Amino acid sequence: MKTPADLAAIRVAKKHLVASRHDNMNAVRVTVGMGTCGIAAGARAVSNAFVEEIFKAGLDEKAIVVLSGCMGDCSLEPMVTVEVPGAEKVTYVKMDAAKAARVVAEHIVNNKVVTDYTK
Amino acid sequence: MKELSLHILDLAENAVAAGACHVLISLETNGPEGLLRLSVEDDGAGMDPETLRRALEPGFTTRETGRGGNGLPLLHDAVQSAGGGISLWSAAGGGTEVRIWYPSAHVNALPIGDVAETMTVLLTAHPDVDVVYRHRDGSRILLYSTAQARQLAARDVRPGLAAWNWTRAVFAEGPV
Repeated sequence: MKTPADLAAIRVAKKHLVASRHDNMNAVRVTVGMGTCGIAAGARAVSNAFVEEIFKAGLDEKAIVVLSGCMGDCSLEPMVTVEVPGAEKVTYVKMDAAKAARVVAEHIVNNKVVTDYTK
Repeated sequence: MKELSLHILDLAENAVAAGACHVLISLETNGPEGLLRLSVEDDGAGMDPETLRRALEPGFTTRETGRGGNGLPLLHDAVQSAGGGISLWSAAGGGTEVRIWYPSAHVNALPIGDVAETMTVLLTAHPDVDVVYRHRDGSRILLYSTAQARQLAARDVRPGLAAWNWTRAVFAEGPV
């Protein structure tokens, strides 16, 4: 079993690997609102669905999922923004796992905004 | 929130927002007192005495964007209605520790819920934070670390997916 000191050393040693992916300016950036309101509305399942669908599509290195706090309109949670490099940021509202799968397939893979779920 | 695992996610997100590099989540169930005990400790910025004093007030927040300030009050309400309690410790620059406890058999006891779902979120969203989860269930234990998951998967062709799958496998096995 590793000690906390061992784990801290691993974190420092590997940080450049993870930072390179999360700092990739060419990656599609999916931001899930994970404030208390988002979590209560189902944001955890939405975030996991995005990650799973991105894995399924083989886009591990081309799309990242990050979290934010409350996005400001709690009644529209779970909220998600998708930023494709060179395109305008798109905000999706009242998301769920099935909607996340569709956004990955249509917006992230085929670059077509799913207007059914936008604000 | 209907599951303890959702509150755990909320507390861990608070810790990360406070700049934590390490978050230690300790859950104890089936102990001799019949209590569920949870603590979430972090090495983030911590709170000054005035902020700490108001941390359980609904709507109180130090954040300047979005809304907030309801996570700890919601948890407080949930543990109180389950016949339990909450204690907070924090110091500016010294991190924060939230402890809760309630009788496991209480009619309003929050179910633990899907901790694996919480951990996969923390694993993928915070690559530079180590979240350690320790669940002692009677004499059995589950010990998990997001840093360890990433380390074990580092040489895989698809490290993100491998760390994700390893995380799922650890929680599917449960405490041993």
